[in-house]
Amino acid sequence: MKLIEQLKKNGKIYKKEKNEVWIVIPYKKINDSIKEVLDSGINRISSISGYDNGKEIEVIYHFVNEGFLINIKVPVSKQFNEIQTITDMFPAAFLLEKELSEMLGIKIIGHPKPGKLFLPENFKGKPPLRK
Amino acid sequence: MVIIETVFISTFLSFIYEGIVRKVAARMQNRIGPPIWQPILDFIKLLSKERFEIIGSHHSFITFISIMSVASLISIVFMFPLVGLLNFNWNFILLIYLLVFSTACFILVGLSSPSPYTLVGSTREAILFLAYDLPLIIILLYFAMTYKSLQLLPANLILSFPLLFISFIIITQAKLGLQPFNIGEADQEITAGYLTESSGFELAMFNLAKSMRIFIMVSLATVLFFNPSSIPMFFIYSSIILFVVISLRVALARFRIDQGFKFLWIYLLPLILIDIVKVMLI
Amino acid sequence: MHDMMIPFGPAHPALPEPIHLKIFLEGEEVKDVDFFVGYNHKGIERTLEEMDFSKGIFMTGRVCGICSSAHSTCFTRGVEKLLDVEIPRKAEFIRTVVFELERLTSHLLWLGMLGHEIGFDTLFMLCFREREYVLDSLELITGKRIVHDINTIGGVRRDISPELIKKINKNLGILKDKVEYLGTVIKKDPLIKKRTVGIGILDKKDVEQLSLVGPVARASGVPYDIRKTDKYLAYDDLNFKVVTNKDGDSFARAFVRVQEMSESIRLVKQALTFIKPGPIRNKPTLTFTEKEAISRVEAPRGELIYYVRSNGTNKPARVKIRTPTYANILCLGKVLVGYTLADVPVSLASLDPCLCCTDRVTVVKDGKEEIIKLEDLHGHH
Repeated sequence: MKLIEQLKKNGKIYKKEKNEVWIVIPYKKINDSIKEVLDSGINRISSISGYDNGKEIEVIYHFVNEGFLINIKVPVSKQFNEIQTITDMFPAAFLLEKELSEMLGIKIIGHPKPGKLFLPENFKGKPPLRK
Repeated sequence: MVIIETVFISTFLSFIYEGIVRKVAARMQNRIGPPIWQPILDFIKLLSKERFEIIGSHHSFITFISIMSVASLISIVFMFPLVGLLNFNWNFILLIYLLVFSTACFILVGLSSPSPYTLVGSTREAILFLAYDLPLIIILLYFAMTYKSLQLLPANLILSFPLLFISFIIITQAKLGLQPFNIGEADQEITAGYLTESSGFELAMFNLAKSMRIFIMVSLATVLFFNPSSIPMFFIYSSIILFVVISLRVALARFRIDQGFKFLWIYLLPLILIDIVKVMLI
Repeated sequence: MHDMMIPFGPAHPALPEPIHLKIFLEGEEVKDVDFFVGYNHKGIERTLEEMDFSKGIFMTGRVCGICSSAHSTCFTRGVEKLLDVEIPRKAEFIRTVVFELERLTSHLLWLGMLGHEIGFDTLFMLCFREREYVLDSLELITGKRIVHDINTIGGVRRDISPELIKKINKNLGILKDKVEYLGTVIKKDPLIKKRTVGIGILDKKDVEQLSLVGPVARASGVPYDIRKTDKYLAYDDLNFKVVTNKDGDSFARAFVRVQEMSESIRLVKQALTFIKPGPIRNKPTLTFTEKEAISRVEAPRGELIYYVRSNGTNKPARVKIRTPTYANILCLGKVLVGYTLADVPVSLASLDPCLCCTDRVTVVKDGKEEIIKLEDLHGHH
């Protein structure tokens, strides 16, 4: 579909299944790509997953459109360690980004209410899901 | 002496009435329910429990209020015809005063603690009180002016005042704090309402006062509308009224405070006025 | 600005599970709501990384007590996607039967809780009595009443024999009439309507903006149901309709769930007719490669989505769970503000929250308010 063609320009499709598509997009292009998703009429974000693969942190945004899943993976380097919020475009990401930031230690720039979600407020120590 | 016997018998009967309410309500809901003497056991257990010291609460005042609530209700028993101790003209006025006083005790308890739950519970109870108390006073005053004393009531007044009977049943539901009017103690919203912070002796007293309220209001309804002359007939009529009260409690959900308030104002006064005016016109 | 703050939770008779809400009131009207959550921090996502995949199925079945087989089915499907293994058709139908029966128990429990919140104890007792039929059927199939460990990688662990099918059909026949009766009670009882109609209204725009899921979204007119869009398990062979409602208030959410109960009974009856003798599991070789997979199911409360990733060992590298209530919490502000305190439990219950969490406590001391954490309470006297 048209959105996938647009996203292919910025990133690379690395997996395609019956009703899912997985695209990896470099860090610099992520804001434009998410804006393209919003502009194409998709407004439902189901989840944001994070995974520490040793070298970097993979942040995956899962968007849903009528049973079709669009999964956008963004590698975030461990030194740089921050990512722009998408709550201005997708308000549903409010809690998802908080969980991402506290479990994997990524700073979310521009989040309206940063802070711990599940962990206690004064939690000190390594973010639990970092390797 | 007769006084001590009356106190003990009325206390015992209050517990039994509450036990019957709980047992029959349970059976109606397809459960087994507690035994009828459960409230007696609860009372004895509560007397042995410790009182929690709540900072900001006036404990000696609350204990005093809890005893006064029971005392005021026990005093009402002495006015009933079959006991006959407080037999004087216009003892209806004393009856009205004691009923209002016992409700005031419940409202005061909630206001004496710093907890927001008790505050909301007492406020709701006070608002509801404004709605059901005026009709109750109108009914009792009408009877006072017509018959002067509880002992001089004729038998089977229900035949002349059926609508008054219906409104008295509605007032009873509200006063006893049973569905659909158990708003002051709505435990889903405000923990236990005005009794949230009570424990130990004062809770035992307040529970006793609540049980006595059931006994008093049901007996009052029997005396006002049936006025039976023998003790077995008294209990038969009381059980009919108690059964009506329990059925309403089981079959209905709970009003919100504004809905309950509106319902009582819109429906009670017309019912009462129709019956009184009808009798006056005949 | 607001003259009173009522702490709701974490432990409260209205709430089946702990959540801390700070409700700011003016009189009886709710002006603002602040919420604090933290899931039942057993640290499940981290623990799953330490367990084999086959043990992980039992663990995920215990994330939630009321939607247990939803979680374990979702995780198992994710693992089967990682292994690229197909399961026998009969196993799909058995999974569907257990799944839909669990939806019935969940909705019946929810209906009882709604009755309890509005003071209608009798409805609560009736719902729990009817629930016994479903729990008996589930016990006959899986051996357990609440947590059903029926899934395994490649299929299911237990079969349904023809005698069992007859017994379950008998239970369902009785249940069908009772569920219809409960539907009439909800529709006709004036007090239930007074307490739920017009309370906690969510319109279509809110659902789309906040990505709400489940019956909450469907009651506002958005027909979002994974069973129809994804056609997982056996749903493409079965005939059912997605229940929606236009109004978006608490009554609409109640009615949607009641109708879904009738649909579930139909689904189970159909699925049982497809169960003929045959294999119930494939035993695949458990060799994992570097792969990731997404698995979604329609749990009783909405869309449940699992992200599973393997790295060549027999333990997962990452499991990310996004539960439906987690997605629906965001609408708390919209649903509570502007209504009275008495509507808070009703609105909260109509969202069907399924949270398990621990959090802080608000203490009022000498008129000053402080937030104290659990560790400090142990040293307090």
